[in-house]
Amino acid sequence: MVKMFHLLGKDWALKPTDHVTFTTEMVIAGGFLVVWVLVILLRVHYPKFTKIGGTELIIGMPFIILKGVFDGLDTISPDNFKIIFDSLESSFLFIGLILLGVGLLRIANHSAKIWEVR
Amino acid sequence: MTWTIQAFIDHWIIPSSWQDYRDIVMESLTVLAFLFLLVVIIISMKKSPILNKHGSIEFLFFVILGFVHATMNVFDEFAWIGPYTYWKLGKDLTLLFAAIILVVGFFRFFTFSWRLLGEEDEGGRAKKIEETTP
Repeated sequence: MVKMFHLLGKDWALKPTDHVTFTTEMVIAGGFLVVWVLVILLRVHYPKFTKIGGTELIIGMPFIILKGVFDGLDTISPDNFKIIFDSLESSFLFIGLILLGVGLLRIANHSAKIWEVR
Repeated sequence: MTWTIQAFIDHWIIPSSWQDYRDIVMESLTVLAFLFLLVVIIISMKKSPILNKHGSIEFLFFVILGFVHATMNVFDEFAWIGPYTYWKLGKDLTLLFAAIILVVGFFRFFTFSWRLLGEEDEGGRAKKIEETTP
């Protein structure tokens, strides 16, 4: 059964062949959401320890979650929207990954300082 | 063998419109971002070897799988894949494993910080350490 809905003047459809793909993409977004929650918990519980690097991770993760969401929208969108979602998902992934990289690098530098000394 | 590849790749695509080029540039940038992340993780593992058993290895596997996903994404801009649904599912499963590994990595990093620091602000070990160290 094809699930159809009308949005922005176009027909969007979730075809039976796309069920598994769409579900996988939503689970990916959910997985990154769990990472975001973990990062926020770390930031809340250890404000001093995560003062350096934590903020970049918190800002960066939603971009990666949005990559998963746009991946899902790309699957169900009408043809002329696909290329827009395709570009949006890679842009968001790019921004998210750079922020993740900067955050992890700063955390590593910081933890090297505080843990190697003790 | 030739038949299998021909069945898999229907034909090669020559990018023609500016949207195609924009897409290829954006997707190539994500490949570069994963390479940047790979360098970051390797530097982090060298700088902070204590984290190797507590998350860094998972981050490394996340980056490798993510890199594979991004490369597949760029590749299908140039090749018209016959069984595209399976190809897309393959791409997504790669990223799904990457996401699961990242969750495990952050979880281990989180529990490690918990064990090491305790409750930072509620009279746990971290506060005691701060009180005793000048």
